[in-house]
Amino acid sequence: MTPHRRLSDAELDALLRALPRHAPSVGFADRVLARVPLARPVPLWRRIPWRAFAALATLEVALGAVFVVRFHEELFHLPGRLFGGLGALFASLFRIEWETTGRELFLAIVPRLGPLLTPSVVAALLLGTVGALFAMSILGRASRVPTLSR
Amino acid sequence: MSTDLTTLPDQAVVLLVRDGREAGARELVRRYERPVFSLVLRLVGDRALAEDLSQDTFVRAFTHLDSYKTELKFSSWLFRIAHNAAVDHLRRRHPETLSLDGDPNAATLEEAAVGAIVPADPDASPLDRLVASELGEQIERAVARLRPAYRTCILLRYVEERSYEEIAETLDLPIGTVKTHLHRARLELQTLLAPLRAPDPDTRTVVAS
Repeated sequence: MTPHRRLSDAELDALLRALPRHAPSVGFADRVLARVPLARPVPLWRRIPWRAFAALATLEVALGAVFVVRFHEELFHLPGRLFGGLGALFASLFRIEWETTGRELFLAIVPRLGPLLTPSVVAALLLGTVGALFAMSILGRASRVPTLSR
Repeated sequence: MSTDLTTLPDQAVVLLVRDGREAGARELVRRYERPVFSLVLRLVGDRALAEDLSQDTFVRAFTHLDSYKTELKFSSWLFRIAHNAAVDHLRRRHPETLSLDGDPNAATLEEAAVGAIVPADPDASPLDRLVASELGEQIERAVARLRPAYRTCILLRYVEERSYEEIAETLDLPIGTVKTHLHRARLELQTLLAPLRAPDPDTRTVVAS
């Protein structure tokens, strides 16, 4: 029997690097994806869009700060004024003659709304609307259960 | 909005899959089906079984994607799942039943050849293909004789061209251990593949005299 020398490092490297990659049979990906659950539960904390959350929270805090600085003198009176105004509005609604036409009804309500909408109330409503939209967008995004889709 | 997923890095595609996009999952399978299947096939030595275990690997990866830490390379994580799946299977059955010549239960040579690991270049002549096939078989056979941990190190290093760090990540071993495994595996392979080398003329002289 003829003795052999061991392969050199370079020869071995060349042989190993020549090893081919083998391919699975056709349709492998389809078979894999058929076994992956189409809807996977994702924890709530992962469904919350944190960047949007931070951006909207910053906006809300900034608007709140502007509101406090601008209306700080009225802040203590604001709830009382708001409730008082709403009470007056509802009381006046009972005095409206409901048989009147739509235009007359509009003209009867709008002048009663006017005194209620002071700048501080408008600002508070805007602030509340932004907060509500913010909460709705976050909750809407978080409540969506992702499914595998093309 | 349509994004060309082929241009995205693995981490970005993983985020799409986490968000439920099937296209992302399909892209990851496209990228790694061959590397994963090749690794598993060379660990278990049976095409059908390797295909099942490779499928299990991807399914397990996609269903446990929440536990994937993005500081680890996705490929390392995937290879780790594949390696563990194959090694778990090998532990459950006798390694003597492994065959790189194809299906050990085949009744005919043709049936056995269906599952055999034979590297082939479609442009080569029949003679070249025969030589390459025999050479390839001997290399595959030698690699198959390595213990699974050595085999995975060798395959990840030379077939998948992974760094020592990536192999260490994949096998959850210290880099020093990976280097030792590779060194020992190479020594074993050099001995096993020695017949491929031309006989040493000096030794032949001595033997002849």
